Amino acid sequence: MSFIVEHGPALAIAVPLMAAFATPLISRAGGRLRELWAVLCLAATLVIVVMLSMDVLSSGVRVYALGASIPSLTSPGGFPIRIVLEVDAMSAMMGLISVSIALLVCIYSTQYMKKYQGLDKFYALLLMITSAMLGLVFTGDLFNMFVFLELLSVSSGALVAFYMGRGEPAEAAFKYVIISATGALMVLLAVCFLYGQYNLLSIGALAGVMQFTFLDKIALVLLVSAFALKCGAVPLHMWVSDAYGEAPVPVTAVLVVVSQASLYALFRVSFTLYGAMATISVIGWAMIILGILSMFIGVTLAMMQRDIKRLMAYHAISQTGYMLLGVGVGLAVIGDVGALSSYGMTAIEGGLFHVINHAMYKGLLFLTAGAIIYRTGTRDLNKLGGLAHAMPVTTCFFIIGMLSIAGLPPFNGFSSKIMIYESVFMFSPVLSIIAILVSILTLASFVKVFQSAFLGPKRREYKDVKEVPVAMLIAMGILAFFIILFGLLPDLAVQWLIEPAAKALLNQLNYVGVIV
Amino acid sequence: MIGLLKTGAGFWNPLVWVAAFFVTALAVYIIRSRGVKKYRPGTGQTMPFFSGNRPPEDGIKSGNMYWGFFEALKRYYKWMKRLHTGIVNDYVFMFVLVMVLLMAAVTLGGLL
Repeated sequence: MSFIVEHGPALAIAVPLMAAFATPLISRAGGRLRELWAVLCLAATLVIVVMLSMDVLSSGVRVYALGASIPSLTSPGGFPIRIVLEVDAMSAMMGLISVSIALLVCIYSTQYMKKYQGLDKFYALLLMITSAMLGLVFTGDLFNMFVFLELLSVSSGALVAFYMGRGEPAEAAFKYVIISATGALMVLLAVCFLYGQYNLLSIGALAGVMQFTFLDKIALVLLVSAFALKCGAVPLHMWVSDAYGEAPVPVTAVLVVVSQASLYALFRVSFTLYGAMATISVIGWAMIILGILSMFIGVTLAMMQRDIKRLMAYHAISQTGYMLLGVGVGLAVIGDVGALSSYGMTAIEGGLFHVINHAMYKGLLFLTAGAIIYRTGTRDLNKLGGLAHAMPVTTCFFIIGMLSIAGLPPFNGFSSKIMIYESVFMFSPVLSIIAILVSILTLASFVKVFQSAFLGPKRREYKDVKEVPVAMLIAMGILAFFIILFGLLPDLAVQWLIEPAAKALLNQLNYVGVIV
Repeated sequence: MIGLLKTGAGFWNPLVWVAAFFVTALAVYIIRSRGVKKYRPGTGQTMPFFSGNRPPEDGIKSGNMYWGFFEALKRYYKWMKRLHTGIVNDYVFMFVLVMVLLMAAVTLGGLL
């Protein structure tokens, strides 16, 4: 047990990575074995991340120096030269989200993807995405953040293009890869600027010596822009509807978490690397503006969509806005101790809680959209109708997801949104009112989906439609269960996951101290 | 207290809300059960209200919904459609634009 915890950061990345490369070999023994292999490897990764998270929450930040005789020996001779993985409560929270969603998506895919060919590549890439996400959130090193970002982009891009029989997925993947490469290039440039000045790549060590020169500020702008691009904030969102719309449904649910991993990188750079900069509140304001634009433009564009997946993609953009708004308000008042303790901390907690909740309800909604497509073969809302007659369980799951994303009590979306509304209101009532208005529009948009797809008389063309297979129901059911659980007991989630994560973001010295 | 979430200015307890919801639902059920039970199936009394017209047989399509909302925001949507060209060069242009604006904000923030 202690071995797993001690080597947890490396094992969490290595297990899915090794499993990814072994998947094509396992595939030769049969499809069932390949699917079992992928599910078991992801379940093993989840166990490792859970054990690691429990250790981090009880004992504090855990570091892992790759190649060192003692994993905690990060700075031989007092110089932080090694590649270091650093897991604090914030990284642990993101790791838990990433691997949990990947596992549920894998279970769902065992049925949903059954009729397609090339599944050895599909599962290999799914495992690789999981490894890259965990690498991105666990790394304590800026250059490796770039490496994992690239790995994430390449594997996600390949999965977006999975349906190569049609032209649109290839085009969407092309756009995704171009956008990702542009963003990653800016990250690399920023890393070069910082390394050129300080001879350091470790985030903790860099934060300890950062002088906030003009070049550092350019690096900050490059990093913030690149991560905002990758998380799909408006006006950098245009790739999202293409990629989410054309990727296979299970991949879309994973892409939501991929975007959140980029959001993590944005928060990590802003708080941990540049948290001590006197003018960091400017970045907080930038996050607020991006958040408000994302919320409003995302939801208004979602309302006009007829394609169920594109509609949900625009909602994903809109919900990212809430996270940016909450955390942005916290960052904007980071220099004002009174405001930070009065409402800034709650705003950050609300934003981070929304990250978890969004992963769950958006994951569920995408999977219900997948269930609809699986049975009817269409994504066009104008062609759907009356599915509640034949798919009652999927309908129930959709209602849970719909009420949660719209921020209706007692579901988890409401818990995080009320934290954001109230804390942001104390910062600026106008911003809070916009956030509430966006929630109303979100509900209106999902009422349209619900009415179009599920209500009405049973249609002739769907007379043979029946409920989806058990594996798909299990994946959706687990997500629905956690949505209700986090909705009914939000205090436990905040106490055990969110509050430690928010404190880890704000407490820069803790992150720096274990390295230097 | 289990379920009590501090929200900055106040608190939120979903368990109390659920209890209140069930009490209200029970009251609604009792009131409804005392309503008039006589109706004629297959007539307008059992059909959905559609502004006095007969509803379409295959239901209302998603494209028919929120017409007034889209009509009121016609200029906004026209502008949005013009921005969303689907051309990757425009995506990258937006990225460059955001970087320039952010750079200006960070530089000006340092001067103020």
